[in-house]
Amino acid sequence: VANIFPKWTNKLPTALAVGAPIVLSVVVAAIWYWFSPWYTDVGYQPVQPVPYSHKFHAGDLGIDCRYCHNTVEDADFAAIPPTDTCMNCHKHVATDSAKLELVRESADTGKSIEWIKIHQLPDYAYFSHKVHINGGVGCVSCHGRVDHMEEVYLAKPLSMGWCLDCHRNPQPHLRPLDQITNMDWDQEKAGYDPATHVNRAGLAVLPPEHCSGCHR
Amino acid sequence: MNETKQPEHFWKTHTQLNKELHRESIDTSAVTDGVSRRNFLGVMGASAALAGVGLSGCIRKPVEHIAPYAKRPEDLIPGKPVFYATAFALGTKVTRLLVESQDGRPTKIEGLPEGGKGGGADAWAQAEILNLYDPERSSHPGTFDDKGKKADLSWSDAYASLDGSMALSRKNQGKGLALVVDTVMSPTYRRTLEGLTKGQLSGAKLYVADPAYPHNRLKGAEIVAGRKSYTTLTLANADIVATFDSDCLHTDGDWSSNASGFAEGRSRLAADERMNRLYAVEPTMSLTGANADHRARVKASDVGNALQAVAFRLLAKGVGLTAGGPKVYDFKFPAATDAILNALVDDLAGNKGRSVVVVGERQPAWVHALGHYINEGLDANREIVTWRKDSGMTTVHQLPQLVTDLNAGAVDTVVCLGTNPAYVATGDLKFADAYKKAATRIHLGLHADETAVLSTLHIPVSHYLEAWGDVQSQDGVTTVAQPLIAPLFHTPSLLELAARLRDGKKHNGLQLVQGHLSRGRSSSFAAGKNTAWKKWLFDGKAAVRSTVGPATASNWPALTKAMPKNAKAGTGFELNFHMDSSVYDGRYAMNAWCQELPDPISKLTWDNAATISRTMAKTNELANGDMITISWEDRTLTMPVWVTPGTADDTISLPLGYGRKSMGEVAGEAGFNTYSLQKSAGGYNPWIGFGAQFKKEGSTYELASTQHHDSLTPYNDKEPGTGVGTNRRPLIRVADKTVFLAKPDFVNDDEVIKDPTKIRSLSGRPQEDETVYKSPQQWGMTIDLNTCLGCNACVLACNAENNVSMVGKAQVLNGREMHWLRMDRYFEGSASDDNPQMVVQPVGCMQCENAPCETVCPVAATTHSPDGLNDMAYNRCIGTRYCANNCPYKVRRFNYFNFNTDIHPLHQMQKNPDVTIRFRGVMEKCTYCVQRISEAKIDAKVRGNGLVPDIDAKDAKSKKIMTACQQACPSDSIVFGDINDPNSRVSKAKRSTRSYDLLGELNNKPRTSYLAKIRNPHPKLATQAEKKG
Repeated sequence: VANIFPKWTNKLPTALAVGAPIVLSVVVAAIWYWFSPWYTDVGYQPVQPVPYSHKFHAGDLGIDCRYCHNTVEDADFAAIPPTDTCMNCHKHVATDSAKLELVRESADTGKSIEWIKIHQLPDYAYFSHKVHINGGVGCVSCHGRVDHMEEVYLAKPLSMGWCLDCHRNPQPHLRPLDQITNMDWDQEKAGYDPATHVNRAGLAVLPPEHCSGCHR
Repeated sequence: MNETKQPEHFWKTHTQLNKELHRESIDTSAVTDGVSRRNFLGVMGASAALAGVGLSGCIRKPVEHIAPYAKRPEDLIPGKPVFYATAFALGTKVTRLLVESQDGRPTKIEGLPEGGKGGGADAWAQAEILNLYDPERSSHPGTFDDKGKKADLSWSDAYASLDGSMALSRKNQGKGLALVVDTVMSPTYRRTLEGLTKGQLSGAKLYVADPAYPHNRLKGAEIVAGRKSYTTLTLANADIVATFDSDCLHTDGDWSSNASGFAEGRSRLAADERMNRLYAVEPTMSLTGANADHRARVKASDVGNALQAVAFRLLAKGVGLTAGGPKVYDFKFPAATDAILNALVDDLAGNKGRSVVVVGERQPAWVHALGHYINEGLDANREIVTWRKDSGMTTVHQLPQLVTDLNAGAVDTVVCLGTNPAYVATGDLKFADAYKKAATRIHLGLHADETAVLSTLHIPVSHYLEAWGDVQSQDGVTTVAQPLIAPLFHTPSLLELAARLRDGKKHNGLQLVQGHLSRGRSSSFAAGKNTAWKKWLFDGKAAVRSTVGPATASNWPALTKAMPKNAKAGTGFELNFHMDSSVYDGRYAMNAWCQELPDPISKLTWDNAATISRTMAKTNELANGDMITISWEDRTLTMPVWVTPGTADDTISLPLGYGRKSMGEVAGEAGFNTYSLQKSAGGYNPWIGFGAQFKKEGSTYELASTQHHDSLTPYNDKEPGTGVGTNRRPLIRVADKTVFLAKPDFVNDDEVIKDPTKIRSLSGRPQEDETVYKSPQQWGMTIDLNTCLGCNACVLACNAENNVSMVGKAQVLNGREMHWLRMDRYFEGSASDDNPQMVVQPVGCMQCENAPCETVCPVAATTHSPDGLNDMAYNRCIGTRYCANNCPYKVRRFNYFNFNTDIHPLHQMQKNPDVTIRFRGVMEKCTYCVQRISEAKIDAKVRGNGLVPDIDAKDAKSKKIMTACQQACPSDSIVFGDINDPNSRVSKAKRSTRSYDLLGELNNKPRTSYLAKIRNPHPKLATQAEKKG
């Protein structure tokens, strides 16, 4: 009988037995990481039309988030502030800064500044800032340390799995309502017991885990 | 088997009874629009390849921009809807509205709620939102040449042309100026128009061109009251209601308020309460007739005679009708009709002060006057009928007069203000020819319509949601109509243009309205500084002195004079014109929501048809869709027939409002223009035509009727095995009030499995093991079939709220309409009956606790929420359609196509941002308006006690919920709420002994339950009805 298989093929089963799991694990791990929003979405940092520094305004100056994003407690959306809000201060401060050219133009003409949206949810997912802010979920939980960001980037994946992690076990992410915008606050450091936590209406926080909780 | 009801007791069409159609849901899989299997596989391969590219190349979502206000108005919260009160008039019917505005764009129109009730905006009032965003609206002024081709004009040129023409008219003291208007219910507009026939324009004449203008009603009142008057009904106070060719619950008079009052009287079901009884005498099945306890099928020309017979028999019974009345005669009718008239006379006589006769607009004036005479004798004017003077323009002429004047050369300038006489003019007038005899023809309107293309100048006007105005309802309440959005096409309002006609100056609508309504008030009021004005806007009611005084009917000798000397019916077939249930008089023909709304009786969409009775179809060998040519005098029209139970023999019923061929994509293909057959010259009543002929064409026309789509078969003896262990499905449960009182839980007799402990799931588990629902609140719904009229307001509300796609006639024919809520319509009675009774049943998703759809979904796209909703995650759905196949109620809808790509930017503005826009290949269905539930739940968590308050809750701290269908229901038949709360309105309704589940034997445990229909037949006729049943 002719020797169809060369001798090295004897090692093939062993090589496969050892190699295949490794290759498979690498593929799984690669997809796990590179196909997940942790890789595809986190870190998204487009160049905004106005080089507004959250680090300077929210961090160094300590302006409360709600000075600009003032609808966050009453509406589903934390509205981007109108140009008027900028001009409240910049009528008096840095009035001739080149960086503020577009802001002044907008204030003069009434034309919107077209910011680029960073925290994009799919259109079939409905998120309400109102219920989270009044429930005791701080800004930092979803937006990261905005007070450290020169230009804002996406800090968290905003994926469904990530949302559900918190919805299934919200306690580690709850804080007293007066610390909502405090980016430095920490449950452990503050010695806060989330078991006693209640929302604005004095109710326990029970986030939904079913489809229509977010999909309408 | 039920003791009284035969297998064929409930049915949908005659053809069904002929055993031709026994499919539960139309086979949609067979239709693939000409895509062959090979083609399909090829396309699939390509999509797979593309998908690969997509995965590697397009991971990052597209860049989206946020454009905040530069100056945000005070108190405006982006993303939070705001509601404004306004009002709208359709003919003489005024609806007060609450309009939702999302970031400055109105998205949903609802009735102004009052006392826990929705306020009942009908389908048309709600559909107006789509009219606002109609891409086919006229956006630019222009002039039309002889061929109807438009040449655009600039606004300044258009105004110059308009002002120039009017300056000329002023010079001539208005001589030769014709102003063509529609029904005017706005006090400010009315005064402006009256001003146009005075002073410098004193020679000008006003003509009305509006099929909804109640000529006959006003004239009938004028005969006996000495002046034009409106009679409004408080039907809640009536125990006996007898309608004579009046669809007063759906298209005639003040129908929403009538429906509400009627439902109130229907709901008096306790032993010591007087439930109302409705008699209908009519030639074609209207919704009012369909809801009647007794319905007499009488030719339109015999309706007046029937009323005479009623008067005669009342007098013969010794009921003292007012002295000085006319001499009335008795008439001979077929036995069935005679029995109903006798019962009616018996009831009217026995219920003086609590009974009323209602005559429909289609009947000539003398029938109205005779009705008033009977009502006076019945003492109905005390509690039921309210008389008010019409404060309308004192001297308006009718369209035939305009044509006469035009032909006589007495008119050189015609201004059509928001009217379309070239379309609505009856065929005999040959309006287009006459119109062209005027040198200057000016058309002001929303569309470049049939009249505009014949005009020398066309100026587009604003929709009522874009303009300031005011409306006064028939009962004298004035509402300020405030705009929701700036004019999309920078158009002036009709009111502003009317004011401009007088002096050639630009006017501001707000100032005009304030100026008129503030007469006799301080100057600060007119400047808008007064808080009263703001309160008027907020309340949707203006506290202005009503200009409509009471009127009294007393001139009976005039009635004697008006009565016909020889009231004999004409020969040949009778043509019977009526308003269409979907497009009304045609003004909603460009509205896809209305076109696709199935007619409540015929279930036709996208077309009208000549409806005839079964007997007439049989004798003339006509079937559904057969083309016939109707000829009357020198006018002919070829259109298809549709066999409809309840139509009088020798009568062809013709709905108006279709065949608008030049009106674009939506209206262009739909139906046939029946106005072209009508006649109105010489005082002829345009609604009824005598002496017409017809012949069969031999060709057929495809009509899209939804009557067998996704429907359930109520009784199915001939195909055993379709129910579980039974051949019968008691979907509809009906009883007479006497039966109900004797056996309040009669609905249980119909149960297929009488012992509830024996009901098992398909998997065989006993009921107790089923899913436990954890949330403190559990949503449920009841639909009261006793008060549901089938008016379709809920269906349209659902379309508007949930971004439901319209699919067009071709896809309706394929059974692919997307309505989440459908109106099942059953006829009741024996197969050979030409005049059956009717029952309607709105069916949406039942939110089954043991939902059969959920168990078959391979990807868990449809699952249960802890508060009892059958959730649908669109983005998870892969479109296997297993769920729809396993749904016993057939309420799931599949997106066969991308109905939502490339939609016009204007249509995009209407979409509700709180509801996902669905993509091709996705299943969708009713969610109990989960977006409203979620919003209310969030509000309850933030402001309330965590529980959404019941609709009846007194001191609610957070938002209440009404589903869109519930909000729209004029008769308050739909109740939604928490079934865990024993005191909620829905729990109380569910405790009713009339409550039953649809297909309860399947153990799906639906969350929607139905309350059985109760009828209240006259005792003498009840036995007969039973025999029939």
